[in-house]
Amino acid sequence: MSSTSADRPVPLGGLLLRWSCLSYLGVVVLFPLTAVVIRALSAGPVRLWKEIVNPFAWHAIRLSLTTALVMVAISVVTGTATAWVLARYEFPGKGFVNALVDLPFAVPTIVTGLMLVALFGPSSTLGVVLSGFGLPVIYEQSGIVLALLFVCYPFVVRSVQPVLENLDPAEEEAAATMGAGRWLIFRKVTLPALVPSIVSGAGLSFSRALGEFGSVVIVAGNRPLSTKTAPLYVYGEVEGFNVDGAMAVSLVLLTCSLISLVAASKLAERQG
Amino acid sequence: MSRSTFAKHMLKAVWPILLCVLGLSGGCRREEIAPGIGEPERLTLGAFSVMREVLHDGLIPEFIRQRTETGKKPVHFEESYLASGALSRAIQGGFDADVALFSLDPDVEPLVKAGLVASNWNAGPTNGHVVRTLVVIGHRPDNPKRIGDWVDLTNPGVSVVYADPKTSGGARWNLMAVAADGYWPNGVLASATPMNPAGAEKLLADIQRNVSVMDPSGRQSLATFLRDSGDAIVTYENDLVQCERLTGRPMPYVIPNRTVWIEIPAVEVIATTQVNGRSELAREFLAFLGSESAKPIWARFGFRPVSGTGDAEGLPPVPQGVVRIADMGGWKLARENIFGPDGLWSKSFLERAAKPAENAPAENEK
Repeated sequence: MSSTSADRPVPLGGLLLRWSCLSYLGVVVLFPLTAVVIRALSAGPVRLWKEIVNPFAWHAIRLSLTTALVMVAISVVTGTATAWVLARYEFPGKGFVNALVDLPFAVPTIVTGLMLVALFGPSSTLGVVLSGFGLPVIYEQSGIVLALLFVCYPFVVRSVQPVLENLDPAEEEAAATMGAGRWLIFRKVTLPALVPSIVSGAGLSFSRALGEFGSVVIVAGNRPLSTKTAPLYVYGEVEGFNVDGAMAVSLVLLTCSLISLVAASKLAERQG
Repeated sequence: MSRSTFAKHMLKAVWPILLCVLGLSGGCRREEIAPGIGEPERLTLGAFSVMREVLHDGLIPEFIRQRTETGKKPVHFEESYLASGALSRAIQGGFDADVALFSLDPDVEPLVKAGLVASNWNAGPTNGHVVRTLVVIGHRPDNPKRIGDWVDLTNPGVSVVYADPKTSGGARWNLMAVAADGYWPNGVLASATPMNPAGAEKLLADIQRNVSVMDPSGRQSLATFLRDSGDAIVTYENDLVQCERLTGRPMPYVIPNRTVWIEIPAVEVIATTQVNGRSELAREFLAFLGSESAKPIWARFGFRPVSGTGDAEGLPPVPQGVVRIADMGGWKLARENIFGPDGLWSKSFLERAAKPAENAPAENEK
């Protein structure tokens, strides 16, 4: 498809559009990120390494990665299921539910945090019950996952839903006529077609989760070596004038995000 | 084509607004230039955020009242409230405050170095401080967990909140009070005995074990406590008094027997006052802040006088074991000893991380 457009002479308008879009991307996204990378690398590799393996930083990085991964694992299942319900079933109030899915993007993340504390916190009924079972959520690592689940909820749903809606029913029908059960059809026919969109939704939510600050700062409790995530650690180091430490950890977060996004898009490309 | 008519419409709509703005700003300037008998003197005041209520609602009105009573010219205050460190940086960057109040001495140091504040600012009998407050422990009404001193915060089942010393200057001095108790166990006279770092490290670690939330700032920490998280909060006395005023909720607290004074410096920014000829007024205001007539106002907002025992009307008596930061080696050393890279604070964490199994309640049998 790209070869046909390359054969024709490029109209000036298209060239201008392409050029301006790429420079916009450069100014808005690439410049600030490059500044972070340059600032981080200027400290020198030894210093950077020291800052990263500092036990406080290392714990924060690991905590951010694991909570994000747990969140992604849950989101992939629930998000795909939600997309399935929205694409395949008709029910009253579906339009409203459909709009509700995007709400986590609209709510300021700090409000998300406050809401979760009100709902699951130590002074709420639910919080008391959960603590009674020895499963306190707020101010624990599970609270971080909960906040991330809310904040990143729309990603998988919104990337899977349109694919499901546009899926050609012919293959599923063919499988059904050959006597395959619904679960088998889903696994062998539908799911493979969905994998690229699931992977891309997962990549987006993982990256988003790594940088999440506003809601986590309220629900995590922020105890060093326990519930302090990497963005909170970075904030602390900036306030404590340890810019090298902040930049080193930022660099790790940035690299992880980039790897996950590139991997997701490669994987989606190959499957698609 | 529709775009150009739109632009014309916009211009038509915006033009009157532009004129208005220009007219207003011109008006402002004229008023400033015009000399008159009733023209007030001006004083620009910079202070850290916590000071807003006590200055704006209490001290400044009283200062103006006293001046008009004695027949002096009225004063017009321009007030600016920032975080203490930000205020210090703003003045270094050219903010023309005549008088400035900081939450701690180290924020004055760069101004002295830059020649903006006289180097003898802390030479007086009160070391440049106008008022002070204490690090205290706030608890729930009726004190269900029976909190009376630092050691009670180490009890199993007590959940403690305080701000993160990494991000909050106030939190550092809060934990300094904990360290002070560990340095000099009950009853020992502070100045006469060498500090015991191991004791401080143990107390810091034991309390930290019970901490549930560490918010980035003191204010956020108080908000968390108000959301019913935690049985106890470590914070400044004036914060709790202020909070009770603002929310109407009772904020009971205890003053531990060993705690530290948080002393508030107020300075004249000579670089500004000398240019504007406001030196006399600035000094008059500073003297007022430390005067007898200001004391009850400070006390109403939870602050205590610098002189004497520090007892103030309406506030609980000051216990015997309160130490000054100076007793702990001064700001620099105290901060380095506890929060430096090899300080007690970091050490207590890392040693705990090295042997995580030791979380068991067996610790508390002692």
